[in-house]
Amino acid sequence: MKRIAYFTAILSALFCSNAFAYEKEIHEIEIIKNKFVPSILKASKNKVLKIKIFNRDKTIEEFESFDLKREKIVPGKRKITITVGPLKPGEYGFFGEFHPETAQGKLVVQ
Amino acid sequence: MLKLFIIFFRETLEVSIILGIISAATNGIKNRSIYINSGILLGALGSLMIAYFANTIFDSFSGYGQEITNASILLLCSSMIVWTVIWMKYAHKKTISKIHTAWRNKSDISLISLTFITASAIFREGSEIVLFSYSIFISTQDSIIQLIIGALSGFTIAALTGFLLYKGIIKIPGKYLFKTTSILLSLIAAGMASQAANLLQSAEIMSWNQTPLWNSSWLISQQSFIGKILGVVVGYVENPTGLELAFYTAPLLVIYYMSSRLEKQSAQTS
Repeated sequence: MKRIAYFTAILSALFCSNAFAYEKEIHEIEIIKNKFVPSILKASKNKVLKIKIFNRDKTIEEFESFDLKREKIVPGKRKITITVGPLKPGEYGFFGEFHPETAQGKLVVQ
Repeated sequence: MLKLFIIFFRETLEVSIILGIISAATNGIKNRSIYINSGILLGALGSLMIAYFANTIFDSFSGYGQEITNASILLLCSSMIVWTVIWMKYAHKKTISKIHTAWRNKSDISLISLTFITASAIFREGSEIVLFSYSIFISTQDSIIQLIIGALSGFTIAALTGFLLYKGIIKIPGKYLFKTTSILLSLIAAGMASQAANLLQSAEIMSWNQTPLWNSSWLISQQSFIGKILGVVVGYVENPTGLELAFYTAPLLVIYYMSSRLEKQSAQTS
């Protein structure tokens, strides 16, 4: 019983520790004609970033970034949200997996 | 047309590699193709279902439905593979101890795991293919025939790669074949678990430990062909987080622990 209590305590500590410790910052990107608008996004360091992505096209896209370790489908005419960070200053590239020749962008963290 | 070719090739390659390894691992087991084929069928139907309900699924769990669905599928698939590897070791031991082919006929229940592994390996990429093809279909100027040619050729080349891999693996002599396939399957299971960890982090379910431990993109980039293949087979990630690493090692430890226990047991009984 004691063990379970300890385990739960540690788990909940882990769950809560990061979630409330950082300020949030919200950003928005649109996908228009298989391009990210804006394609360069500026954000603050050490904040949890919520990036809302609106797909204005009929075609499906997949937001993908190796630097941010995110991969998420954005169906046509829909919106998704990805959450990243807190991040260190630097540049983080992202692209649309289904239209990589046009859909390229980067997140600049300062 | 080229677009569909690339997408079909890329998305089916992963499934094809996994199927190639699974087929090699279960080579010689009676009726295994029935179980694998029904897995393929189930996976295809499931993909259509997921694609059809995509918007509902994506909007669920406060917008994290996509991550949570994929993470669940991956964790399920990973644990099934772990179970299969342990079971294979057990069955293999029995064969050696001269109870021989009995397990090949009587292990139908265990073989159901093959159906699940195959199906869940197909679900994820399959539903992406369906969604993408549909979106291309409603927006392109290409004719249907062109689209079908693109899709089919991408699919065929990916399938062929898996088939050649299968043929290559089964050429390995008996004793090593078993070792090779269980190592490959263990690594696939580990890779799937770590992918699930990444998705759970993306969905803010486990939001700690987000900072990557290292970045080896200078050595092997995940975007390169080799990086992609390694991603499927050994779960290679260029910048893993602590949580991903923990999830990666968990299936390996379970397999190691269970097989050494089985070894002890069989040593005691004989």
